[in-house]
Order: sequence, then structure tokens, then C-alpha cells
Amino acid sequence: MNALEKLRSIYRDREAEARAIKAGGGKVVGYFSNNVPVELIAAAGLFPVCLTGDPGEATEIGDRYMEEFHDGNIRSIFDRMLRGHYNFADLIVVPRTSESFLQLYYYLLEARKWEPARHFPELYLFDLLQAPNWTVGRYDRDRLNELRRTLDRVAGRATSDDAIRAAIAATNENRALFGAVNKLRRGDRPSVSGTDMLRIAGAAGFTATANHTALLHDIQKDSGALEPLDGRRVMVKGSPHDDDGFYALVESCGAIIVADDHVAGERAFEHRIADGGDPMEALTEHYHRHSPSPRSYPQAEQDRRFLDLVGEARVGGVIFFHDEWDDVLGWDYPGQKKLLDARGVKSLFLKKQSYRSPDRAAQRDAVRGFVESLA
Amino acid sequence: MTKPKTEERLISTQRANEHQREWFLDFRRRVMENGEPYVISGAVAPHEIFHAMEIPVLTTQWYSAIIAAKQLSPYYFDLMDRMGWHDGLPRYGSLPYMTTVDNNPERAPYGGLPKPMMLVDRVRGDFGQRISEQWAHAFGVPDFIVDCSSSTRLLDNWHQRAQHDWEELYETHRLDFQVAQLKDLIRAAETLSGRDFDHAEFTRQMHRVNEAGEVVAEVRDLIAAAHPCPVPLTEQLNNVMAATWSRGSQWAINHLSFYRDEVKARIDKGVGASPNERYRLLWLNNGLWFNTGFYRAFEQSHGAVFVWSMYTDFFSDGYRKYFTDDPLRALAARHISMNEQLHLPPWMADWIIHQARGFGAHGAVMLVPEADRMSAYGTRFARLALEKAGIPVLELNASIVDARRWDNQRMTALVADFIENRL
Repeated sequence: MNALEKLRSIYRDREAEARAIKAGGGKVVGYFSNNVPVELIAAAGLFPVCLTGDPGEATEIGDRYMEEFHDGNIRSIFDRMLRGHYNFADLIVVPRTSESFLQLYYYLLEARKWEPARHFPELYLFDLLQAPNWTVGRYDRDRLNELRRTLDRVAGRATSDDAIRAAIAATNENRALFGAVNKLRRGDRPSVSGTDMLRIAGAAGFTATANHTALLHDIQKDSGALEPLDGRRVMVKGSPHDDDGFYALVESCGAIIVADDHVAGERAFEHRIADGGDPMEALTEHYHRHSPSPRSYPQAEQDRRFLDLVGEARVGGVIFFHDEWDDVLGWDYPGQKKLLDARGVKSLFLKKQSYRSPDRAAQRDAVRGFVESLA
Repeated sequence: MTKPKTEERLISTQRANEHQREWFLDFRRRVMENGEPYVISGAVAPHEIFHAMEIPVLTTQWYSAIIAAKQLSPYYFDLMDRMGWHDGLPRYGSLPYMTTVDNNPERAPYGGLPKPMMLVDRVRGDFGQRISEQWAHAFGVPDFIVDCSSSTRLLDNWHQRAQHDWEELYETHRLDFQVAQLKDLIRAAETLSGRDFDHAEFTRQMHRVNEAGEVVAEVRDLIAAAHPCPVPLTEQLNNVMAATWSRGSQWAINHLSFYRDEVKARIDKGVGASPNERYRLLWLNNGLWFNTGFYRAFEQSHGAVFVWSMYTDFFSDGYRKYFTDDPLRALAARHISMNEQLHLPPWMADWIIHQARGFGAHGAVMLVPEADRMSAYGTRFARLALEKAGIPVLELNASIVDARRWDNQRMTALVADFIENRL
């Protein structure tokens, strides 16, 4: 199995490594999204694993307690939690960087009362705020310090600053290599598909950073052997994706996804954490100001980055993909479309897309027509 | 038993409406003619800072309700559709922004909103900051975001602890943070307006809010114990909400006291909102602002009277914060968990059950807002909790402000069926 195949396998069997570590006597900390400082978890000697939902699973318990408008991934995670699916974790960190995850936290607290026979791990609300000002930054620094103390309790020992510096260095090395591999889909003749880049990005949350970095290194080292890929250059933007179904569909329609702009894609690897100095300040600065989330503010700055990426990746068309119950990204769409129109970049808007039962035929028709229009 | 007399409109209701009209006329005179600064703000933001500086505050939700009441929401929602904002986006907080996008003072209520000094919003959800950023950009003014820390735990009986025990209830680290944000806001307001923040006046206003809240609690208890219910829900809302928007003023205390005395007089005379009250209902969640007549639609036909809603009582239970030496910290406590109290299990359900018992309610009708999930979270758990407590609940799925989506015949039939078959 080559490095790419290994990363695909990690992406498929997401919890395998965490479960193996737990079975071997290690401790595991689950978390959601890219807004939790995994560097602190790793520095504490704990194994961080990103937890996701599964669009293919039924959500009978979730349906009992959650209104229909909860995001599909949140409903799936809630259901999995109550079914004990995540019981391999010693602690689960829920970030406050979206209203959906905050609601998940409160619904789970309440569910403990309604379903006392069902057991799931201790929850920790990581109250990271992202308004870009000094007061919020100080609040975040205190929250990171509090998280550090909680992780020390779970680990049973105090984490040193040097261990945190080492974890930051490992993250930065990983991001640098991710950036190098990401360039393979950006060139004139891309040699890594967007679908594989989504898998590679996702796999970073399911395996140890050192392992992920080693696999990225192997891909880069052997990149000369990769076959060039053909397709119209598109970007996928909007809601995050818990599986690769939509990406694969887009790339089966004659496109190649040379860039993406959502919290589960390349954006999470964009920024390096400052090294040297106080590592807690560096982590605070990074997660407060540079960790993309639905609450990143101001949106005008996010739109500038989006346009830069469109230019840098020489995107021919942008596919906006918004979740079924989106009440956030839709506010940005008219302005973003206007910006693209002004630059002569075409776009396709797929709104209200179901997490659980996506209409693949309709998606395929829309994407195929759009890709053909890019000729 | 003699048949209860039917009511006429309270004098206090007329005064409340008059006060609101006059407030807006005065607001326009000061802002448009005299060029005074004013602020556009969400409801769950610290208006008290501006009240103490004599800077008028235009509340987004209040203006939204006015737009809906004037049946203008269909026009503005059509505009949203044309502009590319899809119909799944939250409607309640966005209507006033649409009057700016439309830029037609002839159409907008009271001639529309002039350019403010700044926009202020406490960003509980993820979309409010997007609306305020775009809106501030359209006006060319600063957008002040009050970020929103979150409770790590929800202690029992918030409604009994929130007035005195708020340090423990809302968590010290959150209050510290909110105080720091309030200080930032004060400095921003001082810089932009050129006015000083009057500490002494602020302290007096904070005491007056508590005093006004005590009167609201008094009226609530009077209405809860009275059979028949002496005041229709529509009038309860008019009186309490007018005082809420003018909280901290002596007018609010005087008005609520007059309202209390009128209610008391009605009770003494046996006057009821409905001549044949048989069922007492709660209205849960947001108000139906474009069709407040719906609250009274079942009095004649079924003897069913809405006696309580979350907004007739929140001034009492949610706003009051007693303090000894730190009014700013008390103000921090006021807004820090408003959403949790109104929309989060278990706080939402605990409070409602407590009120349902106090009012002797037979059942509850709960509005589950469509395309506005920030206002609809927690409704499922609330329904389950109420029904477990023996209080039947009917859920009505409807937009709070979009009259286009309201099917009056169907909704009336649903409530009628609920009264006939589940109470």
C-alpha cells in the first residue's frame, strides 16, 4: 500500500488508530472541527482524534430529541454519542466555534437526564471566541489555560511548555508538507485529485501527526510517479463534508477540485503557529484569529482570502455547496457571487443539500451542466 | 356565581402605545432634525450603556415587529429573494436591514432608519454578525460585536437564582469577560458620541430596572391568581414590552405601577378578558407579531384564553439583577445568558413549567419558528418536559414575521382541535 492508499484507508476507518491506542492502555481525547488545539492534547501525551458523523447511519435517538433543523452531522454525532459509539474516548472536547456544536453540547447535557442508562464520555466545552480584539484574545488565553489543566488531569501529569512547543513544531511541519502536496493539485497538470486532498485533510484528524507527516512526505517524494489528471478547474466552497461522496461526484463530471474553501478542507492547514516564545500565547493567537470557523469575523476578510485562493488556484468555476439547514453561509452568498461575476468566474449554487439523503442525481445533473459550461 | 364582565382596553395599554409612538417621533426629531447620535442594537445587548448617555437605541427586534405588524414583511421578503438571500435564512432579525437595502423611506415604517452612530449586537448565533457587518457597511458606520461566552453548566432553577445569585449562576470567568467587553463598549460609545458615560445616572437606572421588574412580578402574580384572567395577552405584551424598551426610566416604573393598579381594579370587579373562560393557555416562544389577534381567536369559540407568554414575564425574572457596589457587573449578568434562559433545555422548560403551575394553565401552544432556528432550539425538549409534567403542548410551525407563510385557517383548526381533544 503506498502513502496515498494508506491515507485513504485512514480516512475510511477513522477511529481505528484511536481504538487501538485505547485498547493498548493509552488515553484518547475526541474533538470536533479544526478549532480545538490538538497540540495541547498531544503534548499531554493523549491521542487526539477528530470525531465526525456518518451520513449513512440512522439517527433514531437523535430524531427523538432534536428538532428537524439540526445540521445532519450534529444529529448523527448526537445519536452516535448516545449509542456509545465514542466510548473509546476519555474526554470529548466540544468547541464553541459554531452554534450547532454549542447546541450539541447542551443537548448532550440534557440527554444525560433523559437517557440515564446510556453512557458516554465526559464532555468539555472549549469556549473559544473569535471576535478579533484584545479582550476576546485574553478570554481565549484563559480558556486555553483551563483546557490545559483539564487535559493534565486526564493525563495524570503536568504538561511542560517544551512539550507544547514540540507539538506546535510538529503541526507546522505537517502544514508545510500539506501545502507542498496541495500544490500537486494546483499545477497546470494536477496529479492529486481534490477528492484525495479532502481525504488527506480529513486523515490528519484520525492519525498521529508524525504518521500523517511521514505519509505526506512519501507522497511528495514519489510525486514524479503520479499520473496527471484532466478536468475543468473548480473550487468547492461552503459547508464542510463528512464524507467524500460529493467530491467524487464532482470529479466524475469532468472537473478537478483544485481548491476548496470550507472548514474541513485546506483552509485548516493554511496558517502556521508562531514558534518560539510563550507557546500558550502562540496557540491563543492561532486559534483566536487564524482557525477558520463559521464565526470567523469580519466576513469581508474571509471573502478577500476566498478571492485570493480563486486567483492563486486559477479556478474556472466555484461550486457553492450549502447544507440543508444552513442559516449562516447564505448571508455571504449574494456578495460572493457578485465578486465572482465581476471577475468573470462562473458559479453554481447548490443550496439546502441534505446530509443524510443527498439527491445525487440532481447534484450530478447540476454539476455536469456547470462543468460543461466552463469549456 | 355571577357572569364575569367583559373588559375594555386598558388605559395603560393606550398609554403604552402612545409612549412608543411618541418615543419614535422624539427619536426622529432628535436624530433627523438635531443630528443627535443614535444606535441600532439587537434586543439582547446592553442598551443601558446608551440610556445612561442619553443616546437613543433603536432595537432591531422592535422595528422588525413593527414592520410585520404593518404587513410590510412580504414586500421585504420578496426583496430578499430578489437579492439572492434564500428563503431558509433567518427572517426575524433581518427585516430592518432590508429597509436599508430597499432605501425607500416612503415605504419603511416611520420613514425608515437614518444613519446611526454605530451598530451593536451580542452575537449568540453565527449569522447575526454577518447581518450587522453588512448593515454597518451599508451605513458606513462601525459594527460593535459583543462576543458571547457560553455557560459550561446550567444550574437548576435559574428563574429563582437569577436576581440575587447571579455570580454563581452565570460563572465568574464569564462575568469578568462581559464586564471587560462592556468597558470596551463604553469607551467606543464615548469616543464616537463625544459624550461621557454618567456613572451615577447609570447606577440609578440599574436600580430602577430592578424596581420596574418588581412591579412586573407583582402584576404577574395578580394575573396568575385571578380567575378569570383580567387582561388579554396582547395587552400584557404591550405594557410590559413598552416598559422593557424604556427600562431604567422613571416612566417605566410609573407606567407599570399604573398598569398594576388597573389590573388590580379589574380583578376586584371580576372583569375577565373572556366572558366564558374555561381553558387557560400559555403561548410559548416568540410572539406572532403580524397576527396578534390570533391570541384572542379562541375566547368566544372555546373559552380558551392565553394568560402568559415568555415575554410578559421576562422583565421580572430575567432582567432584575440586584447589586451592592458594582452595577456594571450586574448589567453583565443581565444579558449574559438571555438566550439560554429563553431557548435552551433545561432552563426554558423549567421556567415554563413553574409558570404553568402558577397560572393554572391547562395547556400550551408553542410557536416553533420556521427559518429561524436560533429561536426554535430547545422546543422539542421543552415539549417533552412539559408533557411529562402533565401539560399538553401543541407545536405550531410558522414564521415569526413572514405573513406570506401563515395559513390562518389551518392554524386555527389545529388550535381548535388541540383545545377540543387534548385539554
